[in-house]
Amino acid sequence: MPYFTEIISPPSSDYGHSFGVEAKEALDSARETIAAKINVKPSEIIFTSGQAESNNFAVKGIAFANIGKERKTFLASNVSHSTVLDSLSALKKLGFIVKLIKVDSKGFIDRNHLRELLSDSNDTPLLVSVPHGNVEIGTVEDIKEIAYICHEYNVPLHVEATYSFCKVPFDASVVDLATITSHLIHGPKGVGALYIKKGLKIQKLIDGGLQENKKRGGTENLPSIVGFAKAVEIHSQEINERVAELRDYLWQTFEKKISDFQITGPTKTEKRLPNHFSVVISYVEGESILLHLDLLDFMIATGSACSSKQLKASHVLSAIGLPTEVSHGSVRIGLSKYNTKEEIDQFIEHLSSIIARLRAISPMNAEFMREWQDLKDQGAIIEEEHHHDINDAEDD
Amino acid sequence: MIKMAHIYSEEVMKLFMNPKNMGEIENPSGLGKVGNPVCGDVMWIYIKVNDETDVIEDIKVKTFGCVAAIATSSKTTEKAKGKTLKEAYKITKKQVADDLGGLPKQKMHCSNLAVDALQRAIINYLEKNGRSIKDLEG
Repeated sequence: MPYFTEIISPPSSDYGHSFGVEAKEALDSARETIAAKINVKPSEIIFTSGQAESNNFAVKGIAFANIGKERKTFLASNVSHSTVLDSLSALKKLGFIVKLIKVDSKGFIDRNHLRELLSDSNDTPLLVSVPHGNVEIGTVEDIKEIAYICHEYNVPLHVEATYSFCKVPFDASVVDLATITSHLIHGPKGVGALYIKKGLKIQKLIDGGLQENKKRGGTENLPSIVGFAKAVEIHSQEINERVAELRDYLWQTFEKKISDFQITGPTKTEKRLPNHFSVVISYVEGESILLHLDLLDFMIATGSACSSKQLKASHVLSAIGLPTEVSHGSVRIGLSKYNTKEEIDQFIEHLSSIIARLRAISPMNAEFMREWQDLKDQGAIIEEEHHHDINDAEDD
Repeated sequence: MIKMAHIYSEEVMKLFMNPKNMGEIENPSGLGKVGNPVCGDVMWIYIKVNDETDVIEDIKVKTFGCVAAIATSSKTTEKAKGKTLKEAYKITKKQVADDLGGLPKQKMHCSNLAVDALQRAIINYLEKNGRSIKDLEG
């Protein structure tokens, strides 16, 4: 609070007066805390407004530093966050080339495909971008291994570590760029950072100031940055272990009480984010489940097309090979240190009765899906076409 | 607390929570199936028709889909019940959406399939009885 009300100067006025000195000290201290957490130097941490800015900065910063040069290809995992993929789409319009790296059915980078894309000697990429922890399916990637591969080909690696930051050990010093954010560890919203390895050539996006090691103009959001560092200090390994225990309890209870579902992402808990559980539930639609739960004050998420504004299924679920008709029933559950076992018991009880209600009114069941699959196998279903009729196909 | 439900009207939420005419009719006079699981909405409408009067005496629906899909299924069946085939065939998607107090724009097309399912059920009944849709015209 004092950073809103008492320390009123920006940190960059530390040469002007003592208010500025105090602000600068707070900023430096926050930077040290956050740098230490991911084993990098404080001067390599650039504060930003959060995940979207950090990812835009990482990708476009590398592109803009290489305009007019021969290399112009970017590689990104096809389960990357939309802020990475959308930044890359913007670059495509400027003449850059984007190639997507395949993942396996659990969401892990296909190492062979990555090597194949990296080894094209006529087209050495400018950057590889992969997520550390996947928000939709919980997959935690082995970053050391990916970094090793990229560096074999002298290509820098950007890691989108928003969802794993403080939850999974992360040594950012082995990579070249890393995105981290505050609000997913209960810190303030609208603040994050980009780690930029010393010596990496990157163009800043916000000109007009010497702040942030000359890499981002504009007055730092000091109260939020101080809050961000505090959240990092508070988020201990003990919290992660406690949350992982809750998640394991949720997983076991779910398996006991609910039938006909499939885990999305890794089934081994040590390969998942400690707070994360995700499934697709058969014969029911995600938005309907979410809304029933929301009315009961339980908030979870879905990758169902019906719940997105574009009515498109989640790109992550498509990338791991889940057919659209299956991804409609996707739900993901994120837990925090504030959840309890009692809440999980209540949650599963409500969820199981909501699923029973929705299944009772649904024409879909195992037989329906078998018939549907048969039609698909016979080539009778054209997926791109919307709302064609089951009657027609069945009558044939 | 403001709930996620605020994107839907009160009437949509009411019917989503307690949908009417859900289920199926054994040996229905007519059955209409629309949608597909890729799009995410599947609706099956069953009707029981009085052969003498053409009145839809009973109607049931099975729906897989989002909130709007469930609410439109419920509203369409409520509107059709007790109507003659000719009257029921004239029910429009707009009428259903208006009666629901409106639908979010992106949900208008995909979730308002219940009217299509009803029309199919009516055609299915007419065809089974050697009649045609032209019988309802004029």
